[in-house]
Amino acid sequence: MSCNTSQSKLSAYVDGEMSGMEMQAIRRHVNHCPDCQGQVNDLKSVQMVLRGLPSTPEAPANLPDRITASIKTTRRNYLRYAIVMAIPLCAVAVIFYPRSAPIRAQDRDLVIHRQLAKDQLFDAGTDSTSGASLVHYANLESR
Amino acid sequence: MLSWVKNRNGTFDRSITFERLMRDSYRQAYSVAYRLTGDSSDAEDLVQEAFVRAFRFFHRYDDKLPFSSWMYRIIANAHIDLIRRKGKIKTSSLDHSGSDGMQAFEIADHSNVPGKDMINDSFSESVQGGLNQMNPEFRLAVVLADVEGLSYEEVADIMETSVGTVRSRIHRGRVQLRNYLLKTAPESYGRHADVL
Repeated sequence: MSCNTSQSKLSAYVDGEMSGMEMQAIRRHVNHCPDCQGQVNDLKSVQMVLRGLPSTPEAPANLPDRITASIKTTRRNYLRYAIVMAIPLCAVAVIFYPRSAPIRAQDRDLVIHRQLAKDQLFDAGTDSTSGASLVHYANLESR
Repeated sequence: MLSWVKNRNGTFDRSITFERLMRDSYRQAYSVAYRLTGDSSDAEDLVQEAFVRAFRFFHRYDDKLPFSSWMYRIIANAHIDLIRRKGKIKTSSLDHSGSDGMQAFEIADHSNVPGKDMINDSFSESVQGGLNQMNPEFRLAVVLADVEGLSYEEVADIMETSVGTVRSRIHRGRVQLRNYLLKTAPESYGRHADVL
């Protein structure tokens, strides 16, 4: 194993975050390489420094209240945004709905009326499309 | 209280649960945020932003998992986003290191600071300074692993990346910090190194 391949793995070696096989290979290399041995000691020092850091300053006691207030404000803003977006949509719906609804109803009535008229013509013995007598067609077929 | 927020089924349970979890975990969140930002005011902003996001996506939280792990991920993402928004990425990469392998850091001159040799305060300030100088992703990996004591797998899960990437980030972060301390606080750092 060369220094280049092992150096990137030295932190994981120090942390024991690798497989047993890898650990053994790195250990063998480190035992015979003063540079890597020095690196391992450096990494352990840095690790020790970080683990030994004093506590951070205490969080402000009113932080939870500020978080709660911030959540409420954000939620209110979302609500406002939703209302602002909903108003024009409602306006469009109000403007177009009354016009379109009667037209649809009228169309429906017209279709029903036409169908009724065809039925009445049929009952009276007349072809609703051509207006000819159904008896005329019956005679033509019998010839 | 957040109990004004009503769920679809008409109960207040999740809001109350969230508030309880938030009050239980905000100190830990602040501690991590402080290590990531290096500043009280920025840490408060980060914690606030993270909890607002957490509340917004609380329906996605799986309560079988620790709340702190979920919060770490949100804090990590919020931290990166805040840095990008503020446009104050002060990163240094090993790619820009000098020929001797040392970082070209912009280092504050602490040589005239009284009591410089007292390890506790001034040295921890130097360490925090070193963390602040790091690439944000290296810093996050190092803080989670070395300060919070998480495993590489947990860090990978929080950072939503592979264990191999975490391994590399932690290593590079530690090397950057070592180089920074050798420049800013060689005596204090040397004393720690001598212990080994």
